[in-house]
Amino acid sequence: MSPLKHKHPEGPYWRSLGELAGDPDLQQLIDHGVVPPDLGAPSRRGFLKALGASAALAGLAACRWPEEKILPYAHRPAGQTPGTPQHFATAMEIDGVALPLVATSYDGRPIKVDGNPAHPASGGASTTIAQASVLGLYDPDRSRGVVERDGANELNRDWAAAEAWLKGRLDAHASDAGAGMHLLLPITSSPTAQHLVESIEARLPRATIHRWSPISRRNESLGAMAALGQPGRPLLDLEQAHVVLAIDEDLFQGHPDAVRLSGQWGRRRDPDQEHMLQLISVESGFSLTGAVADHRLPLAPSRIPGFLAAVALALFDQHHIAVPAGGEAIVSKLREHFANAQAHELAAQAAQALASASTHAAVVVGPGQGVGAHSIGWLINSALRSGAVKVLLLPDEQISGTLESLAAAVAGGSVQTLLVLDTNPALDAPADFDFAAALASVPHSAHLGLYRDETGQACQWHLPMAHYLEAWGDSRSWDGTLGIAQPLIEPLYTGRSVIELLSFLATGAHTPGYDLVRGGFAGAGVLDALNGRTTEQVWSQALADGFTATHFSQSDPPVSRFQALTPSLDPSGDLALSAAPASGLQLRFAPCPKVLDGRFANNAWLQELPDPISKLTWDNAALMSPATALGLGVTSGDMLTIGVLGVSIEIPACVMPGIAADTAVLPLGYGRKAAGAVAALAGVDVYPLRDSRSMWSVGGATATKLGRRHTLASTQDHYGIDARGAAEAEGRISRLVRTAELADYKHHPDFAQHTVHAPPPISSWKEHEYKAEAWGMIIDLNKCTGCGACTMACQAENNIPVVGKDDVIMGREMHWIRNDRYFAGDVEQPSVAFQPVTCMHCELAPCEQVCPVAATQHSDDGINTMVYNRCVGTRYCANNCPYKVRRFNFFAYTKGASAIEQMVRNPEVTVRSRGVMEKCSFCQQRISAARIKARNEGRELRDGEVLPACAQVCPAGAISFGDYNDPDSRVAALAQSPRTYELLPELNLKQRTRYMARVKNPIATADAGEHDDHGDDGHGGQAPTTVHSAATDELGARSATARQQSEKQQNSDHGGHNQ
Amino acid sequence: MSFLNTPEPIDNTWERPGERPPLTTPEQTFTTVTDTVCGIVENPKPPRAWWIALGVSLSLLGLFGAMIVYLLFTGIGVWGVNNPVGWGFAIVNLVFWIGIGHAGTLISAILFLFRQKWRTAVNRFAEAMTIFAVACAGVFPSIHVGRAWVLHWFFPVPNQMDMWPNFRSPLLWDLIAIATYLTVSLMFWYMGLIPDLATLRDRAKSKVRQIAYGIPALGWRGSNRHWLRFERAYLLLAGLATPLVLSVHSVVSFDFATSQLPGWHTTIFPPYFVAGAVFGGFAMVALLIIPSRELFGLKQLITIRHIENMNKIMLLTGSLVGYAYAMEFFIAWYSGNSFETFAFLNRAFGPYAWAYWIMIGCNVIAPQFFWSKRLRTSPWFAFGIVALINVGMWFERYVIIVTSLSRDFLPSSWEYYSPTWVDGLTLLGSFGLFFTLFLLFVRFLPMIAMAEIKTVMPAADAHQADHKPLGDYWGDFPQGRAERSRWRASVGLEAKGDNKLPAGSRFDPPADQDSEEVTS
Repeated sequence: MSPLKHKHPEGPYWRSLGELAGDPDLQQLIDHGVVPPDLGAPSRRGFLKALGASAALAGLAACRWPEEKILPYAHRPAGQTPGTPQHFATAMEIDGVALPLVATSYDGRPIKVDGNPAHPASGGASTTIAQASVLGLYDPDRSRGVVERDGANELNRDWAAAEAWLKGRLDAHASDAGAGMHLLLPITSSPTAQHLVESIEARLPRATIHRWSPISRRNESLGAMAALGQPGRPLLDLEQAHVVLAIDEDLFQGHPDAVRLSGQWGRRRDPDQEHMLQLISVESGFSLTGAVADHRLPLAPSRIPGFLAAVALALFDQHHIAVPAGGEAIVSKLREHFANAQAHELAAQAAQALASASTHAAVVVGPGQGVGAHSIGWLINSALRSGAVKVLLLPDEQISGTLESLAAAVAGGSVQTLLVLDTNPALDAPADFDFAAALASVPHSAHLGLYRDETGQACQWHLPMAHYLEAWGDSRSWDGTLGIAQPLIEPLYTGRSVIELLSFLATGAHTPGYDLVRGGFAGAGVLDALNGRTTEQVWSQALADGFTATHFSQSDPPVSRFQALTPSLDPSGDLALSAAPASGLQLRFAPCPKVLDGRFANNAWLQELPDPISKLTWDNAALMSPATALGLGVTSGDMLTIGVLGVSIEIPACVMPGIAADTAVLPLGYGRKAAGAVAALAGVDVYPLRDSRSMWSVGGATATKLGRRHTLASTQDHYGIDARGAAEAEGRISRLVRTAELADYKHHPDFAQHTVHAPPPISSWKEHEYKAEAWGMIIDLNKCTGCGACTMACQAENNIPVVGKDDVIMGREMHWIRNDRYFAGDVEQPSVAFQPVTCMHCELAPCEQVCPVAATQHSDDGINTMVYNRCVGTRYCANNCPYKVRRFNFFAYTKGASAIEQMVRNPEVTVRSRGVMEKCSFCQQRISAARIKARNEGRELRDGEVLPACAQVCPAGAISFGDYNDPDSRVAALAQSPRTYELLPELNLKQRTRYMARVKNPIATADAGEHDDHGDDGHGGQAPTTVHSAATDELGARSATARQQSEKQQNSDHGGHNQ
Repeated sequence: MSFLNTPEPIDNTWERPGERPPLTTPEQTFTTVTDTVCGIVENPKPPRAWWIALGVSLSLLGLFGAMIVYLLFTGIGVWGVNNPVGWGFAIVNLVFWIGIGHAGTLISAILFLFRQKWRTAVNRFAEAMTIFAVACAGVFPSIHVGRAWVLHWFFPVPNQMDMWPNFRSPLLWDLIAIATYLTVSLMFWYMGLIPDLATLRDRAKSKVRQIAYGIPALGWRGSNRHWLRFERAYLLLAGLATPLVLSVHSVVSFDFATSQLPGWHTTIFPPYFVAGAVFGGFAMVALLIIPSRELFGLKQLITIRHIENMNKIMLLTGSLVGYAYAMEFFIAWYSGNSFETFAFLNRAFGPYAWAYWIMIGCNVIAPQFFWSKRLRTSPWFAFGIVALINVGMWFERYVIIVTSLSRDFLPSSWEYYSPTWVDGLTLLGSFGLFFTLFLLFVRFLPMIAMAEIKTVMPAADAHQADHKPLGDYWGDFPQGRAERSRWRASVGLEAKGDNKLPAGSRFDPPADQDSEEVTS
């Protein structure tokens, strides 16, 4: 256990102080994996309890450690003060990419994780999934022990029995050197795991190791292999970029490096800098990247490679960029196949923008694109000599087997023993492998996983896996930095990690994870550069920091390797859809931004987090554009049968503007059968439609309306609104999310101040004076990517309950900060505006006025506080809040959580009871903690010392927090910006949360200079709510442009793009 | 149910200058009034319809209780309220019932001060209804809060937090206004009851009844001094209650008007709410009185003219309410405030248009039928209209509260509100409380103010003929058949067959019916 500041490489790990003190119940849990009744085994009403897990209840004695047992500390462990949080660096690995984290631990239980501020891949920020992972740790539905299935009987076993069985298998395979033994591993970058795999291969040379992830970025590395002759991954550096063209790639959410990229995006979206980043996005679904892009073009999956080819050809032919050496063959192939294709207008514009940005331009291609498209991406980046994309050359470890080879081996009957580690192929393998049936034919099988999931139930043995917060590990972040994951708590349910199991296979004995990681660390080449320090010093430092500064080698895109390109640039091959013709409905499979491929499906926080664009919770749906839906005769909620390649599923339709025409986007990871009580409620499994030839998209699908309906739990009405309401909503957006184009902004930097003119507000009474701090928040809408991490961090920090699908349908979600999403313009090509909305902490708060029992009050430092125990629950405050940020406990959402579930709760924040109003407090507990610290040190609070959870987590750095009364503070400076405005200023509420207007950076065209000169009118402030046309009609103007583009696109589509 | 359609014993709805139509049938004397009214209370066997009605009402009351218990044990979430729409059926019902409670005090106090003698036949009825309606209204704010068990924090009384409530909150004003109104109404009602309770005491034949009526009669002996004090106190209370009629619903409207929600934030609310309350209150009085006068044979005391007068008030207040609806639209447009404009367009044409047009249809269009004398003097037609008005006034509150909340400033927070079954059954159950109280009232207390109605009968003014021209006094009615006939000739009723009373009208009953009218 190594706190950030104190370095104690070793020490006791305990789950609670009760264990340290020898609590017999806990001891039983540790020794036998038996959860005593008062620790709350999940009952049939597991769902309610899962809901309860999302909130805290400090009032019950059982929630925390038995307090009387704290005292027997004879010797307090160094660095431990009961009740004082400690922070430990760790890391969360998803598909081989680590997100460096710092976990907050209260008395031995981790309650919150945040990004590691010292790490370049995080900078202190993190993601929704990382934030929610703490809830997953305490999930009562996690697998709680070893289970052996013998025919129809299921027997509870322990690890000793499992080890005996494993040993038996190892012995059985000793004679044939492992032939017939297969291991299915997740994709991992752990040097320890790699080292152990090598040991296993040495011991059982004929054993086969396979790796599998349903959402791997395999095409990306194959593309690099094809183009560069070496596996590698693109390292995009937005700091160096002026223009980025994203082809079906979500840089800000789906991407493994999204946190770092979002941070760069935030820094590069300051309109006052010389070259504000320009982003162009072409995609089939609707990603965050598309949402924040300056230009976005929705294209069906089959048309995207053509677009990329058109950009490449325009660059080489119209803009006379030199083809890199070795690339001529590709270009001639492109000419051959795409010369007659009528490209979209945006392709020409994008090519022009890329050409003029030259070395500051970059093209990124998403994992859903074929190898060919990735090759073209490399070609363009090489040709432009882009300084914004580097190659991270990966060690050659992609040689191991794949799921495909495993499926073939199983079908061939050569698999005697199959060990499936931390993957779930019974759920997510391509449908044509029929893996669940294949598993049944394997004589000996075992599964290690967090849940006894679909694979766990299909295998003979299921072994519980340790959560990442329970286990030692190591892994590399996207840029190759090696990080160490240290556990915060002993395994709650006797789980073991993947490396521990691998080590058992390698050695035939159990080795604790710590020793393995320590050994792997020694073997990872870290110690090559000791610089005079001892191994122990290096290790301690790495443990405290969470990472070491060793990277794989990076290089500029090599320009000389293109001769190695595979000859697969046939539109019928990798460049296009491989499995079906581009006719009929095209399906695009997309990892869900919340549950990913389904592995987080049992996380109630994530399930209830609204999807950033569709705002769906607790469900997936076939997302399609209004035109596509009209063609099918469906509206949101209509059940559809979607069939392709002879398989069909039933799924509700969700009409969402901006999805490509004739395309349905199917989010993966829902409809889980064996993932727990929470996941069982949510959505439809779309994996049956996905086969190995069409992992990401497929054409020629059919969709038929079933005539049944399904109620989708959306937190925002999306086109369920009547025409009048929709028109009004669209009309208001320009007042709420103030937007200008960069050229207009340069001309009128204060456009945001003149979007709405109201009569000067006058208060009829003496207002408060705030002589102490005046806490305030400024949210830069130009940086916000809408990812929703703020909502999730707030939920984790403030014990916000989950209400469940039915109550979301009723409109009762509890999030204290929500991200409003508005569409504007043409419904087929809308522009999107995000606006995180939290309590404005109005100085003249309308909620305070109307509360009859004075339960909501202003503090001296100007925070609108809720006094929960004084609240009677009239809900008048919520009615009178113009921002609708107050949240009411309609039921006892926090009641009934088991002791384990309650462990996630933050003891610094009151758990609210039924009938009480709650809302954002600016994380008052953090302000208090910082103030106490400052007072103890005899100094003033420093700017930046207090960070609310939302500001801390925001990867784009869009949220700033501080003291308006401190003239040197960041918020005081930002408040002076002409872009800073108040939401609904005409109400004279003196909001403390303010916004900075968006500035879009569209590609300059010939008529871009035109804008009406409105700088001199309306400054008298007399005209009530005068809305300036240029600033506010921006969305409208964009929509007009988009409509023209849409028409042109249709023309081009009819113009023979598909040859 | 043939008894529900007995002929009207008198048509006293004519309008002629210089002449006051009678307010009772001619043959009524002090004795017949006492016998008629006390007879209902003293009848050992109430009508079967009463039992049926009580059974239904008690069932509904039980339902009401069950819904409240379910709510208190489960949470506000059993209702349809959600995040933008924090107030739903409970507050709609509160305002609805408070509005109902307006007619009683208006009839008692304001009509008293304005010397509207016809009030005497209906005021007891209306006052009782007021109190029962306010009781129903009082239930809803108590149960609609999230934590009903700490409701006492509302009151400005010492509590463990050592805190005053927030006097800036309109909810507190509301509490005070309603409590004051209930207190004064209750006092007013009880004081008016004292002489009648004494009458019942004096007529009581059993010890229990003597004690039961004797204690609340407070030793009333009907002495001159008693009457002097009584009438002075009554006048003072009327003076005290009159501003309350205007204040209570004005203050209720402040719950909405002082907020900043588009659609609520409106200066027209206080007068508009008062007009609506009087409108709805009279509609409820009429809704109850029309069947009651049939059921208990009170047509000779609650005449067709009483019904007509109430219908006229409804025509007036209904039109006022209609004007207010129009004015809200005008101001929404004239203010130039786009949020207000949208709030009202959304009401009329948005997702709640159905509720809005029910409201317009019932509140503005339905009472317009009362322009026709034939329709407004037809009790059962009026019954249909007032039933519609009650529906309309409920929907008025629904429209104001729900449509405004469901779509306010930020479109992201817009949400549709739908009530749940608990909402519906709670509303239904509140009628159980109201009607149970009401049925007990008509069974055990004199539903007509005997003492007051006697003051407007000719017998109260023995010397009228000596001092006043005929027809200058409410209730002028020559006694005896011969005199009456002469009087009728003198006022031209018999001479002019083409008068509003055609020959053979009900005013001119056959001689042999005279004796039957009293004894039904």
